[in-house]
Amino acid sequence: MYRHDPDGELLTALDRYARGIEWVLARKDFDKFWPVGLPEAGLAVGGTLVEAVERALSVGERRAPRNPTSTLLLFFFSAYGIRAAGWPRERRLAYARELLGLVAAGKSGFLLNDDGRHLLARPLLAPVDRGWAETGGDSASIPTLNAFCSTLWAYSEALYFCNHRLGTERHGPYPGAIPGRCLVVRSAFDLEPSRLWSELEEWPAVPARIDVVFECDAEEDVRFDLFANPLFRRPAAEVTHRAVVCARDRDGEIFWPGSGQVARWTEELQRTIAAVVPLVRAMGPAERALRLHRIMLEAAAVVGADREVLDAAWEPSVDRGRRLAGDAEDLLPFYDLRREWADVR
Amino acid sequence: MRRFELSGTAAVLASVSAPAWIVADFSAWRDVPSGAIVVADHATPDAVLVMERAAGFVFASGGIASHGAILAREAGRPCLVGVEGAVEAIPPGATIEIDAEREVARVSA
Repeated sequence: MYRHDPDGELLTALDRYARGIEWVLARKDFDKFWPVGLPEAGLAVGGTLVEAVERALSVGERRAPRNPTSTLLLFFFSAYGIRAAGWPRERRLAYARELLGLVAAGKSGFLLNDDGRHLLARPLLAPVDRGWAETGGDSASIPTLNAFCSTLWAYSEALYFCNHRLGTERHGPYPGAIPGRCLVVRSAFDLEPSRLWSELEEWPAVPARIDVVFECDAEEDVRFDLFANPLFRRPAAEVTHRAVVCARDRDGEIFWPGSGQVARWTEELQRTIAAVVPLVRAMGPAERALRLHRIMLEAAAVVGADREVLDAAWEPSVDRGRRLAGDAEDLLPFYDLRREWADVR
Repeated sequence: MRRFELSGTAAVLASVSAPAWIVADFSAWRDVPSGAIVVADHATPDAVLVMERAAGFVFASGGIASHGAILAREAGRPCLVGVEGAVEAIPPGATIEIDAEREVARVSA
């Protein structure tokens, strides 16, 4: 990316991004996101976040994200802070170049899923052939694995709010070994964010990294939008021939669990969802804004932003939370999600 | 008996008919009975706790990429999204038929 015509390619990417946002916004109710609507969330993140991220990236060792959509969401929310901070055009473009370059490094396909495919640079923990050989790709387990995936999604949303791609991301379609079939993968990355949730004393006993691989009809119209939201409309089980799970435990060992084990993980994750959601519902707007701010700093740490710099920028206080939430309320009428990056040019 | 239709977008290409259960308060997901079609404004994370026992979903807001739609698709449950006014219009105890092909919820109350 940006090798031959750095500014031209970046501006083209920003144009495509703005069009992609327009498309996504027409198909989602961003103000209904849990536990805070996206416009308020973006404003709550504010100028202090982008300044901290910019500073921390300048000294940290950048790395390609394993879940690039979390970086794209950080970029999405940054727009508000950049405008609030009044950055000049060159500084905005430098920031965009940095974050979009990192998103690109985590992917092997189009930066913004222009062709409907969301392909990661490192999609799988282990070659899936091993999984088929060890488990047989038991088709009876497909409903169990789908239930696990929807639980992963809800769990990530409960803990990471609107940047739930920090916890799980669906990607593909990749070519399957059998002609006429493709692979769609749900990966889980960081299911024990104890840094963010010190009030949780018990965490689900689940592996550090999990891939659930679904082998589907290649003819099925498997597409993703730029934020990796799946857009196909048939029930997931109807388009799946077989599925397998690969996991890496906390000692680094790769294994292929059976559906009974996966069902137990589902129960554990659901127990935590049931514990976290009431905690969040009991929070006021200031507390939620602070928590979201912290979550976004975590999204920056994923791509190598220096943690000490990020931590230094993090001074949780009730006053700060009120200020973030208050700024959001005051500034909201002046922001238009569709135009944030379109205006950068 | 009163009959009417509400239109929306089919987030999952599957149909079903069942009694309605209105979730007006998001803290009440766990009260959803088995076999009901859940009517709510949108899904919150704890909606996943009832995915397996619900017969289907009618969400007043959202589109095919919304979280409720994605959860329902993975659970294999029929789901209409963007059904404006559904929570207010559908009375508790009504029967709903989700017709994914025509993208409507037929309500008998």
